[in-house]
Amino acid sequence: MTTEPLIIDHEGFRSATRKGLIAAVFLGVLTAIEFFIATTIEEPLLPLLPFVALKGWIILDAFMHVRAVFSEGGH
Amino acid sequence: MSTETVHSGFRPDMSVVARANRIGLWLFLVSETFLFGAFLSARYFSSGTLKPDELNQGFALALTIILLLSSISAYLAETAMRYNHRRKFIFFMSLTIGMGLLFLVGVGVEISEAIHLYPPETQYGTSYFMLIGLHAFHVVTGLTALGIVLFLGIKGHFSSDDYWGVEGVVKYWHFVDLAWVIIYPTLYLF
Repeated sequence: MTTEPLIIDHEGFRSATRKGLIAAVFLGVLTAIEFFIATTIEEPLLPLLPFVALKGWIILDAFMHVRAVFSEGGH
Repeated sequence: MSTETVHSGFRPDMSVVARANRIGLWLFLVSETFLFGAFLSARYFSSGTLKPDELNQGFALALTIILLLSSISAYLAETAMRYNHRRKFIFFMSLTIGMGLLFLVGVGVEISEAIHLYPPETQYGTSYFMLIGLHAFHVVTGLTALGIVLFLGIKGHFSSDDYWGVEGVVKYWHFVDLAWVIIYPTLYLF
């Protein structure tokens, strides 16, 4: 348990938040396009695959930091 | 010889411990990916992209948005703890749990309708209930873990130097979201 007063890094928090929100906007836009395609095209499997892959990669990279797994510190 | 003398030689390097934890978690997530992969393959093997006309695509979209928002909120909670913002951590973690619960209620509503529209004994129903059930189970376990981390955070645990507990649980929650990103089009869109 922490008993000492902690230093709050406001600038670091703001910068990381900005990155997360940009990723969120991309996810939102891709989800909307995905839904539009699915409800307008007869066989939407192939056209939708890139959107699913892109959304998955955004979550893995921006939120789960997959590229940092094997780097020192890892985050 | 005192206990202190015996243990004084062993001081674990916390960066190595954190790295080992992360690799361990990723290996677990890879094993989970195979589990979901098997269930997803079963859907395409048994019924291809066949889906019933009664599917409520709009409701599924709303569920997707709720889960995506909860993932963003979980990211903000983790970021808040990384930079020692305890109040923001508590706020965003509570928000994540709230949206996770809302998602779970939505899934419950969806299941109560689906059981009549495409029962589990039908071709599509089998895949649907398998995938939705497996995912809902992960949502429940994720929410439990998030609740524990929130409780510990309120009690004063974690800081920017030691927030592995938060990071691990939030990564798991993102994985639950990632699984839904694939399950959602598989069941409702393709």
